Order: sequence, then C-alpha cells, then structure tokens
Amino acid sequence: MRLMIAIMCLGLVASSGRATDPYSKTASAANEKLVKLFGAGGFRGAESFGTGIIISPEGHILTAATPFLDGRELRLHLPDGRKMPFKVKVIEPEFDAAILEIVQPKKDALPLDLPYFDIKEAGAKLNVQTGDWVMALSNMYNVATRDEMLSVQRAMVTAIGKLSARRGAFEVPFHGDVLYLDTITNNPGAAGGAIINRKGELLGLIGKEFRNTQTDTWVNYAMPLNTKAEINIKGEKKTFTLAEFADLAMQGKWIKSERPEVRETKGPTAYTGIIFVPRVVERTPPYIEQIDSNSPAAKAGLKPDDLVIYFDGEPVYSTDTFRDLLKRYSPGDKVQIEIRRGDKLTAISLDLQPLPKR
Amino acid sequence: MKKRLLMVGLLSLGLAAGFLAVTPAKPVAAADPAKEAELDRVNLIKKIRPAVVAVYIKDFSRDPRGSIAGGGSGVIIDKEGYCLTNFHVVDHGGQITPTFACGMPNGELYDAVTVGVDRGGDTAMIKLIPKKEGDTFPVAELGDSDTLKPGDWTMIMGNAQLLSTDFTPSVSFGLVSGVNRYVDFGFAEHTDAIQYDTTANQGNSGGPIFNMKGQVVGLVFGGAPGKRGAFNTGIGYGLPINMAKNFLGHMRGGLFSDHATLGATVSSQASEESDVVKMTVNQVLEDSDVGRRGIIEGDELLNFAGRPLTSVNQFKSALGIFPKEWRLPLTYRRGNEKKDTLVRLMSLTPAVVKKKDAPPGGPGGGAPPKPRAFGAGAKFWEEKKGFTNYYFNRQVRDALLADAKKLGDYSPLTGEWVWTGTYDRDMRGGDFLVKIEDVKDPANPKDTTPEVTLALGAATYKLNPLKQGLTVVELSEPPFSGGLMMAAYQYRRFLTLGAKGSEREACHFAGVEPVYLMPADGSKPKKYEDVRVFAEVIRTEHADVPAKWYYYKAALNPQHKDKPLYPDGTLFAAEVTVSRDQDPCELYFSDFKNVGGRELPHRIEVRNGDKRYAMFNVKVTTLK
Repeated sequence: MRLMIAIMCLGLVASSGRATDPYSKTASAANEKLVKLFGAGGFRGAESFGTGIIISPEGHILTAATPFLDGRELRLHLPDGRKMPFKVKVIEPEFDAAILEIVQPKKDALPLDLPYFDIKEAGAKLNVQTGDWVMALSNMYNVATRDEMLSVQRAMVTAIGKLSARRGAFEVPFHGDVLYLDTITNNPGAAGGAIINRKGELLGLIGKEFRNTQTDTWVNYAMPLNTKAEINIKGEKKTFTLAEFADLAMQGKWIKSERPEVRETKGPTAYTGIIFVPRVVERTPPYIEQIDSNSPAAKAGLKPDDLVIYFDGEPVYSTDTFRDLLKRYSPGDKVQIEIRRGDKLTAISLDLQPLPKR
Repeated sequence: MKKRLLMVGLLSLGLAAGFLAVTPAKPVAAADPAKEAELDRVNLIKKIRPAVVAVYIKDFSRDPRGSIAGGGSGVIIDKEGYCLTNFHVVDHGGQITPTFACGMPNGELYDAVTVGVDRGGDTAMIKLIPKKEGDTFPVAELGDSDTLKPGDWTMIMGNAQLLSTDFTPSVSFGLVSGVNRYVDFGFAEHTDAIQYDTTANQGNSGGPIFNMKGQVVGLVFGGAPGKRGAFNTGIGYGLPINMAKNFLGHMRGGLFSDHATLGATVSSQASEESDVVKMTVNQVLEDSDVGRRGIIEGDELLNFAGRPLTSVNQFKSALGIFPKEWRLPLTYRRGNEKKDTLVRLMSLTPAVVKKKDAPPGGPGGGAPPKPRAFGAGAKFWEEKKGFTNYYFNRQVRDALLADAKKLGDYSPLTGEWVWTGTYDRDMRGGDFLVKIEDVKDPANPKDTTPEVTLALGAATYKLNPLKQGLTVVELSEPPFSGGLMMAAYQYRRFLTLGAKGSEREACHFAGVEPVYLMPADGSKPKKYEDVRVFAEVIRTEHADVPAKWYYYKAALNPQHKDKPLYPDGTLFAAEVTVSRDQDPCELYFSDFKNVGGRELPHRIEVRNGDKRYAMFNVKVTTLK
C-alpha cells in the first residue's frame, strides 16, 4: 500500500513537473499586439513588407527603419484582419528604427483601442540574459495576411553584444548591444517583429537582414528595448534607450539626431566586368553590350546580347536595378545571376572582384 | 563478538546502500522539471521511432544491381505495412516509381511498392512487403492536425540528408510557427500547410511531424530556400495529417486522386480603405453543383466545411484539403438572408494541373527513362490508366464486394424484381410498385431487353433503359426524381452482375466519401456534420450511366463506436447520374430486414438535388 502511494506521488510529481506548454497561448496573445506592414515598391530589390509592434492603444507602432517606409501607399493589417493606412512619424537612424502612426480612414471614426505593449514599462523591467529561451514573432516571407497569425519561432539568446554588420557594402548605422539568436529569425519581412519571453513580455525588436562584417555570414539578432544609442541633438550628446526613444517619439517629443541619414548613394565597390547597353531610358533593359576581358563576367562565360533576368534571386528590371543591386555586395562575394540567351535561361555564378584601378 | 560486529556492519552497509539508492531519485524527479521533460522526450522518441521509415529510390540505368538514386522518409500507419510519404518522393519526372527499398529503425531493409497518391496534397502511400507472410509492422498513431496551434512543440523524424545508413532516423525538435498556411511555390501550391521552425532537410521529405503525445500531425514536404540558398531558413512546411486522412481511402485503393474546386471563383472584396473583408462569389461555372444549388454572383461565402472564410488564403486552405466529388456544407449570405447547403466539389480541370506540374529544374531534355519495378514489391505492381496501382484497387473492390455478398448474394436472381408498398411525396402518397423485367426486344425479337415499370398511385411510368436515342427528360423520369427508373435498373444490374455489369472494366473502388443521412421527417439537419457518415464507394458505368454505390464501414465512423449503424459491407446509399449537367438520383436504403437469407431494405428515400423526391415504405420485395 505504501508502495502504491509512493508511486502515485511520483506520478503526480512527474506530471506537474513536466514543462507544460504555455508557448501557444503566449504566442497568440502577443500576436494580438503585432501588425503586418505593407508598402509599394519592391523595385529596388528590397521587400515591400514587414512587421510592427503596437505600442499605444491609439495605434503607434515601433518597427525597423526598412526602406519601403520611404514609399507611398503604406498599409497595415491588424491582427483581427482590418486593413488600415499608416504614416511614418519618426525615423531615427541612430536606432535604425521607426515609429509609425495608424491613420483612420474616416475622420470622424472613434479612436482606436488596440491591445498594445507598454513600451516604457517593458523597457524598465527588461531582464534578458544569454542562454534565455525566447520567441520571435514576425511576418517573415509575407506568409500571413489579414487575420492570419504571424510566424512564431523559438530561439535562444546565444550572446549579447555590439552589432557589427553590413548590408551590401554599407555598414549598419546602429552599433549598440543586440541579442544574438540561434534561430534564423532575420528573414525577409521579419524586420520590426517582436522578441518575447515565455511570459509574453516584450524584450526586443527584430532587426533588418544584415551580414556580419567579420565572417560575412547572415546575422540573426534583435535589438533589446534597453539597448542604448548616443544621440547628437543640437551639438549635445545624449544617451537614450530604444524604449525611451519609442516612448518619446510616439508622444511627438523626439528631436531627430543630426547625423545625416546613411543613404546608399555611392557607386558599387564590386566589379563584374559587364558593360550594358547605353542607358537611353529610365528602364533600359539590362542587355549586355560588352564584357571586359579577364573580368569576372568573362571568366563566368557571359556574352554580349545576354539579358540579365535575376541577380541573386532578385528580378533585374533595368540597368539601374542591376547597379543598385550590385551596391549591396562587396568584392569577394559570390552572386548567382540568371540570364536569357536566345530562348534559354541560364544560371551563372559570378565572383565579384575589387574595382580595377584605371 | 566478531560475528555480531560483522552482522551489524553488513546491516548498516545495507541500509547505507539502500539510502544511497533511494535518495538521488527524489530530487531528480521533483526538483528538475527540465530534466524530467528531457527524459519524457527521450522516452517518447524511443516509443515512436520504430514506425519511421527511410525510403530509398533505386536506379538501374548504370548498375544492374541498382544504386541509390535518392530517397525520403515515411511513417507506417497500419500494421500490414502501409506507409505515408510525399508524392514528390514517389514521382519520377511525371512517372510513378513503382518500387522502393525501405529501411526500418530495427536495421532491416524491406521491399516496398507504391499503392496510391494524392498529387495535389503531395502525399503518397507505399506498402512495405513483410519478409514472412503475416509479419506485422510497428505503427504510428495519427493525431488531429486541427488542434495544432502556433507555439506547440513538434518533433520531426526522418532520413535527413539520407544520413540514416543504419536506418535510425534523425530527430529534430521545434515549434509550430503557423497553421492553415497557403504556400505558393510557383510550380506547386500547397493549402492548409503547417509551418514550423523545426529543422528539416532534404531527405526529411515525407517524414512524420509528431506532436508531443507522439501522434503524427503532419508530413514534411518542403521549406522556403529563399535567396540565401540555404536549406534551413527557419521556415519549413508540412502537410496536415487531416488532409492526408481525407485521402487515405483513395490512396489505399490505388487511385491517382485529385483535389477539387468549388466551381465558383471567389475574391475578397474590400475597398482600399475598408476594414471589412467579404468573400464574394465572382463567377459560377456552368454545370457546377454550386450553380445548381442556386449560388450566384455576389453571394458572400461565410463558412466552408466548418471553417469561417476570412481571406482568399483561408478559402483556399479550407477547400484544398478535400478530394473531388466530396459533398461538403457551405454557408453563404445573400442580402440579409443566411443560407446553408451541401455542395459537391468539382475536379480541377486537367489543363490547370498540367501547367502547374512543370518541374522546377527547367528543361531536362525529355522524360526520364521509365523506372523499373524490382524486388518483392514488383508482383504487387499493376499499371492501368487513371490509377496509381490497379492491383490495390482490385484488391479493395473485391474485398468490399465479398463483404457485401455475406449480407446477400443476388447473383442468381437475374429475373423479375418487384417492390410494392406505400410512398409519401409532398403530402401526397399512396401505393407504389416498381417492376424490372426482361421483355421481348421489339427491335430484335430473338432477344430480350430490360423494362422498368413504376406505378405511383394512379400514374404509371415505363422506361426501356437500353433503348437508343432516349432524351435526358425520358431518362430522368419520373419528373423531379433525377431518374428513379434508371436508378432501379442500375441497382438490379449491379447487385446481380457485380463488377461484370460495367462495360470497359469501369467498375472500380472510388475511395471514401461522406454521405449525409437526412432526418426521416424530411427536414434539414441542424448541422450537416451531425448526419455525416463516411462510406466506401464503388463506381460503375453501364449504358453510359455512371453510378456510385456507398457501403458502410464501422471503422470509418468512430462516432458510431458503441453502436454501428449497419453491418460492414451494407449498401446504404447510391447515386445514379443520367446526365452530367443535372443532379443525380440519390437512393438511401434503411430499415434492413432479413428475407430469405438477404438483408433487404424496407425504407428507401429518393432524393434529387437538395430535396427529397419521395420516401418509399417497402412491404413486399420479390426477387426472382
């Protein structure tokens, strides 16, 4: 009899000790405070979709400073499936983040009362350490629309450290502490998504897709709410956290830093050896006119009259697109391009080289 | 003294040993839930692993003994060795690979044969051949993929990168990232997919996705390789096991099954600034069942097969998990009125399927050489146009007809058949008589021809079903029945002749379909799901009239677990289609009584479209 009781006790202990499953509940609760962002564009080889975090009941949103925010026709889908226009309130390059504001289509509409993350409180009580299990929620690959739930991934914080990354040849403007994650979270469209802990508390913002400057691998990271940046305001340097920025910016109290926004205006630093037909109209089709001898293009077997269709998976609409895309790469990178020769599509791999000195 | 000391020493040692053995167990169980969970997981893996299969494709073009030319994973769901995998594991550039070599985690290699496929759902069934007749295989339990939620834990097992050279599957562990996903890969689209962050690689294809109860909730089919060209991008897709369940009967019967369309195009109507989405019918295909049910352009679709429709993706996911010809409930709104009805799904047109079938690899210079059947599976491989493997179709069909024969052998009764009794029709009623007999053929006096007589009260109808040049109106008599006399004739023909009653070997097993048993008082059921019964279907075609015969099977209807409706093999419903552009005549048999060693129905409901034509209460059946 005593044995029986002992076994029963053990059984009880085992079942209550089992890691029961709060993840699905936590994830769907967090999903109610996140939005899917859409913009026009996609012509510059960048995605025109992303993710955002609702930080006020009236519809302020924290997201990453993704390029499509510069465009027009900005729309978002609320978790209940409603479609709303929004505008950009602040873009802060020092945080590489943006604050958005939902615009109610009807002027006389009642104010929104959305579920939201209290960014100030979340920033103040933030506690995240290396080795913590977290969840990432985002609309990566634009797989969800309307009221469909965002993608949820589980990840471990593998390190907390400074971000040293680049996009193409350009260094990332933000250099503060980030959470490095062991799961492939930073996919197309994931930027602006949320990192939460098992209790559903907001920990950070999923960043844009970048490569590590040292190893050239893609980094998976998020900016914790307490990450700091030094902001240059009227010649005075002040330090703020991401949460403080978001809180001030949504109240309209943020003074934008004086650092010039990093724009990808420089020419490419990598060299292919392709010379296109003359750019007579804005959308000149990318037909190859000539190939430099001994260039990467010559080695790869490209020929005059080839039409470039894709550049590393991105459609190439014009000679301008090709130039823009090339700017995102550095010498030493290997890119896949697809060309049309006659009726055939051919994939060719190019080893980019440094620009030859002329 | 010495002795005593020794005793004490031994005793204390024993105690100490006992103490040591007991104490560490406690803290492990109580204080370390993480360890506990890990142990649970390890034990679970041990339990479910034996049913996971490594599937290998063999190529004989270079080496006559055959070399491994690829493969995938699978999971056994039946102790006879029926195993689920992906269609794309079985597909060989548009041709079906007939046989495989399959490795089991016990280290044994088995021969296997392809049974049936569902191309649209990327699912296939293969069968492992036991080494000794009667040997059984370990089986994985199937779960309910509709209960999966984002954030649930999953385990994927399989032959990742074909690494399982000792046939022990790799295990990976992760979260469900999304459910009901609509995924368009360009060359193929997938509906209702499970999205996960669990690692799956090439070779995992077709392998099981387990929930933490160890039940199969899905099968791996692919990932989103993305622009980085990496295999694992944190996003993988699986097909839900509930979709595969809808096709299990089709696949087990060797069919090459097809997904379906509603027969109407639908778009989400919302103005640019609007915040409300409506799923609105754009266009209704001519001759579609949905059109005959009265659905018109502008109707708003609300719910399909129990799922609310809130986006085009959701509509595609709700529709994309069913085989063609299934009847499913649809709720729609017109103006302020909410209506619901059953719609019969249409086959996707072959032209569309063909276009989508283009392989992603691009032009490869013609079709690859035909794969060869090898090993013990080869003798179970039988090609026939329109089927994956006709061997299994014949096998299931004959087993089903044999079951039915136990409830009544009609093969000697090729003479006159007469039913008499009373009928009810729209508040009217009276006596009825149905007679099928063979009369002298006026065109060829040496021969006989069948003739059907139907008397309903004072009205009498006659049909000579084989007469040339009958119009659809004549074939459909009596009016509004959809062709009751033709149905009665087909019924006698099928019961007496069985498979031989169809021309051109058209009689085949047509999978599993839902049948809805409407309330006896002729009212509409509250919920169609409540009156749904799954049936095994045999399809016949005689005199260019196709018919479907529905057989009861308790195993398909867990809702009747305590009390099956009928014995297995009972023919309880039928559908006879005299013209493809009108609703078939439906027959529902009940109130079975044993007469002369045969279970004969004494109540026959006749329906057409969504209406009851009449209820027949049979008093006397005379079969000669």
